Amino acid sequence: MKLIVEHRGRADEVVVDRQGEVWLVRVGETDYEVDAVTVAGTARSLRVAGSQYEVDLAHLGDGRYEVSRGGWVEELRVQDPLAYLAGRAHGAVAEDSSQTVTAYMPGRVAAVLVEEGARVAAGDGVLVLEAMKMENEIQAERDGVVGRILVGLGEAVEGGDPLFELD
Amino acid sequence: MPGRERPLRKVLVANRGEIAVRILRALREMGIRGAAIYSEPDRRGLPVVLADEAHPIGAAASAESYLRAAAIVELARQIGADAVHPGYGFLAENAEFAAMCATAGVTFIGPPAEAMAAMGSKIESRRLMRAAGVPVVPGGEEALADLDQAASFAESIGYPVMLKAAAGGGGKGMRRVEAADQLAAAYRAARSEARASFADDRVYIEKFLVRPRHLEIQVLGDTQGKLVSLGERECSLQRRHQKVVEEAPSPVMTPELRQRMGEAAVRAAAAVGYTNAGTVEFMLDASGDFYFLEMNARLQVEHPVTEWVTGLDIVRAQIEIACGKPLGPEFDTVEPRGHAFEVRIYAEDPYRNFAPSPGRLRRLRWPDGPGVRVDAGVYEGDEVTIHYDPLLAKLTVWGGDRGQALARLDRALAELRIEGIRTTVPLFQALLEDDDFRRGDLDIEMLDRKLSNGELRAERPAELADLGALAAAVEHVERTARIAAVSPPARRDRWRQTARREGLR
Repeated sequence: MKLIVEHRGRADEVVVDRQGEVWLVRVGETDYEVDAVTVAGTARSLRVAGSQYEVDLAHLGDGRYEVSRGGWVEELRVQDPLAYLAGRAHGAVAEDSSQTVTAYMPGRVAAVLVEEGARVAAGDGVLVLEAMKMENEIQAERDGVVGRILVGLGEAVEGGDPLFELD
Repeated sequence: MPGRERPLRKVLVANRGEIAVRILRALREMGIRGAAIYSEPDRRGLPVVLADEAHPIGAAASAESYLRAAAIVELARQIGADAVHPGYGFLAENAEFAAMCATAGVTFIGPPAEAMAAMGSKIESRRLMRAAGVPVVPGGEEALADLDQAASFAESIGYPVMLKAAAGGGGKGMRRVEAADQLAAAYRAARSEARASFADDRVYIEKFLVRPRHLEIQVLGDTQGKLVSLGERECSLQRRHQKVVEEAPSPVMTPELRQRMGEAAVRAAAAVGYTNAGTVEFMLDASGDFYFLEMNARLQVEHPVTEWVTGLDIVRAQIEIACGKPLGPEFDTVEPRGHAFEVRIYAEDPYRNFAPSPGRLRRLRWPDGPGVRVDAGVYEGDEVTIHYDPLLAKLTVWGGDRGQALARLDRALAELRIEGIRTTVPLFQALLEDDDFRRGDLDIEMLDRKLSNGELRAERPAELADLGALAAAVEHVERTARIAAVSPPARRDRWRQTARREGLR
């Protein structure tokens, strides 16, 4: 099966074939023979190139995976080549348009730092979310203009809730 | 009731998380019944399931549960608890709570309320320490009358000095002065900044310590008047004033300095009539001078590193002291054996500037084996909520020397698996690669300095760069096959069409 894997800041063509008990996997130009088993739950043991690696795999939906190896966590996306190309075309159109910034954690809105229509630079604080007795500034990830602010002071938000628009 | 021993049959643990578990463990080992309290979201928490009995104390917010002093004292009375152990945080250093326990006839496992109150005030404790001959950072106390007074005072304590706003906080009205010729400008600037920020332009001078270390001495005092030092802990690795990694002994400690610092700590504790466990915090500067910072009138988070190198059980000692038992001969000449580290595993995301990372602990495997101890407040499947302190667990290790302890810490972190939320583990792994940390070359600003320089980032393990791609690709193929096997053909086709449409939209 041919796939496109986005990882390490690039997209690689990955070819996966089952060969009896092992997997033959080509990543870009490199061939690997992989023995992969489920240890328990989301834990996997991979034997590859003479070494054993224990990783944890979480499927985040839509071909997105989080692969964790103790401390190191990597997010990857696996797609069939057609979906990948379609996604790229879609992404090119979507660029520069408005973006809704969502909460990456649950919390309570402790402060709103700018007004709607304010011009912000990448790294400027827009909101402050409070959780676990700590205040965390939600910053603009790029330069832009703050559109509608979708939450009010004191409001409780869940992870994934829309917070504000950045045009 | 000094001098009279009084056994405890039941103790109420007025806390949650790992420290409640730690106290319940000591109680069980001593044959004392342990009663836990819990807020609504903590009903399934580890302390509750390990306790002999557990009682609801209110809603999620701390103010409506773990901080309800009167309700906790009333509960202790109702369930017939002889004593309350407050742990750390919450009500642990609340002198009023300690006094309420005494009034209700419930033993407070900690220092007397008066000692706690005396140490609770920064100005009062500095004055007491100075009177007791404990070195404090030179300066402070008096606001400066004018520039001339500032100049002569700075001269007397020596440059560099720090100008600070008397009403201050948050770095406002603070100016570091390297030499006499900078004083006039800095004095004016500090005063006008203080006036703008606090409507109060009084400033005072303090000696500025260059890259000091944070060292602290664990003390224990019984109710017969015996006070001992259990040696130091090095706690210089802090992120925004929050300790992150501790070790004992300090890499710069000498027997002579330990002796002097231990004696100063005991004098500090004696000056306020201290009993039970406490910690005297000092700053140690590059020239080997140390200064009193504050006294923590409670059990410390990092007490396990002292337990590792002394072989003593500090929580057990606290309970015995509260029973009126005198400190035995094992506390007389305590010398550290080997070396111990503690890393605090917080539910914070080092990839996102240490933002809180609540959620379900999908997977948990603690490290084990020689020289490893885990004090955890959570279990696999448990839910980490946003309501409380993000400390999940403390991983402590012991080795015959610092090098072996570092190797064990490295090994233990490699065994550890926490999945479902992000933790500070990658920071510790990065620290283990840091030359300054490995050499023990530490100061209190080092961690913040390195983090703001972009150092100590989690690094991709060198051994196999494509590992993530291999794991995800194989998983994806197996997953796709599984979905195909369980989906009826009609639905599968429609799902594919939708996927294509979504992709092309």
